[in-house]
Amino acid sequence: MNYQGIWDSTTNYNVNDLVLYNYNYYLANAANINVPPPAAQWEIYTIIQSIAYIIANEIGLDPTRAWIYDQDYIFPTDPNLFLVIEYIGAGDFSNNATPLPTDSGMSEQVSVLTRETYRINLLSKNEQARLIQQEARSALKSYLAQQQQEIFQYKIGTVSKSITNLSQLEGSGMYNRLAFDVPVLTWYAKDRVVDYFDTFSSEIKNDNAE
Amino acid sequence: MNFGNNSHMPKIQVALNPWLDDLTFIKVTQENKNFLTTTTNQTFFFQGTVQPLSPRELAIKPIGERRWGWWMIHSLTQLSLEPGDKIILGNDTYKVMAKNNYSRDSYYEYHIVRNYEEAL
Repeated sequence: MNYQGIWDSTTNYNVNDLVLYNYNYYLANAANINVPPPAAQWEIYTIIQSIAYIIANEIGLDPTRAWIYDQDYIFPTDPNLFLVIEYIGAGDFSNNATPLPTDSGMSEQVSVLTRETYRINLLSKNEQARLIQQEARSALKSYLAQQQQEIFQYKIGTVSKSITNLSQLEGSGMYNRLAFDVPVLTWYAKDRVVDYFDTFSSEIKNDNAE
Repeated sequence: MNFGNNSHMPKIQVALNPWLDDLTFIKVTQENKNFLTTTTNQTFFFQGTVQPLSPRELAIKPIGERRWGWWMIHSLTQLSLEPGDKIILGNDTYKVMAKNNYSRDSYYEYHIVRNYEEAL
């Protein structure tokens, strides 16, 4: 993944180039120039993917063995480790609308500052999930984690001090399943064109007019 | 027991031959890229038969499962199918539940069950 900053119409983008466009991040899946996302050449890339990337990379897990819950993905048939990351929920700190006057008219930026919680599930039929759990948590303090937080503009909070053994939920699947929660502070925004005051369609009655 | 080729027992392949049909199935394969799942469809052509399970095979299944949409595929060649694979046959989605290798008699058998969850 190569972060190239804000999308630019004159730049030649290659596969795995990451850009920021309209407050969203997009990863190039094909070389392109002057094709603004969203388009077939771009795939949206979100914080949950960034966290999965950090952990998979730091514990040396093949990225195809990590995925986001729930996509009806069939579990691997071998006994080795795999990772499922869940979006648990979010709580907002603030919710704002800021006017943005532009040359072409009036826009507003609507934004939300929020605290999201993600759950990391480590699963294996052998002992790997149990043995790797500390390394998975420490991955979130790694140099790679710092880089990812800077690129994607989020902040990983204090990782849950406890790890929960959810193996019993797997029943006859007989998986070792260990889970811990990751709180993330981040923000989302969107710019919208709004009617300027003199383009409102409703008339304002002028009491002084005779 | 004689496992050689000189037996005068009837060959199942010979019995199957008049029933064979040109068939097509689509194998639905999952791929995981950037932690997101995508599916790809791959079409396979083969010569074989599709039949319901025999009464005996149904009888040995648990009562509830007997009413599921079971089918049995016979093919002269080994198909790229393993238990757990998802396929589209005709207009319906099925899951492969069993695979029997009777290559000694020159055929392969697969049991599939209708995937009602993804009814098309």
